[in-house]
Amino acid sequence: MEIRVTEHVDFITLSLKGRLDIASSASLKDDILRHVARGQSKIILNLAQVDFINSSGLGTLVSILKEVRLAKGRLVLSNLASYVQEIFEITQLSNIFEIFASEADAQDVFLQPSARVV
Amino acid sequence: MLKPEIKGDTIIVPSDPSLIGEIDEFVESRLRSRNVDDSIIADIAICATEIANNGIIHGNKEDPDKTVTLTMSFTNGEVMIVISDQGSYFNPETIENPLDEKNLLREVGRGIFIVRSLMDRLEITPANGGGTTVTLVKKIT
Repeated sequence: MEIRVTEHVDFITLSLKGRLDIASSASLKDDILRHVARGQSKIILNLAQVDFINSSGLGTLVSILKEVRLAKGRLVLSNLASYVQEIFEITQLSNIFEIFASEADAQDVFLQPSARVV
Repeated sequence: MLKPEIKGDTIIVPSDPSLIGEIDEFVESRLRSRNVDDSIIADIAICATEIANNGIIHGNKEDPDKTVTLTMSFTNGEVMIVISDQGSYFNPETIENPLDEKNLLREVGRGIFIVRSLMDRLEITPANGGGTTVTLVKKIT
């Protein structure tokens, strides 16, 4: 899996490309937790180019969500392909994660005054 | 490095989770050659790899001397996929409902649920000589 990181003032965006499964899960989690450890815990995961996700990938995202919440951060998802969206809805993880249709919509949650780091 | 063995519409995979991608490719290529719709291919591929993954990790415990065998057959506008491992029988009754509120934030336990949701039929039976055989059926036309 390829991970492209874009750093903004108030948050970071990780754009993922490839398969989100057991083979890629550990490195994704390690990568994100390194950012969280540096205090970058407001995170957008852009899944536009994730063409495969299975229960291992979902489990990893849940694990990451919990770690981010523990760090008082916020993790949001954007640009889910219809197939990935379907998997989130089947498992009702769509009720657990904040999911946005576009990265711009996701950015708005961090750009609102109440969400800004002072 | 261990490699899958392919015989017609059957793939025999050593118990190495890194080989899951090859199962996905095998399943997708055979469906694509029959001009199956992309969204149906995606549903079938995730289910086949979920079950194969279970067989490799939970069934065979990643024992490199054990394999998972997946066979596809096509009849009456349906695909049937039979996946067997060589571990101990996995009883699906033991799975908790992942939609229960207490389970929603669990990191595991969604695989079989996803498969039940996406396939038209799912059967889980003891395999000959131990292990588990899972049969998936889905309409493809």
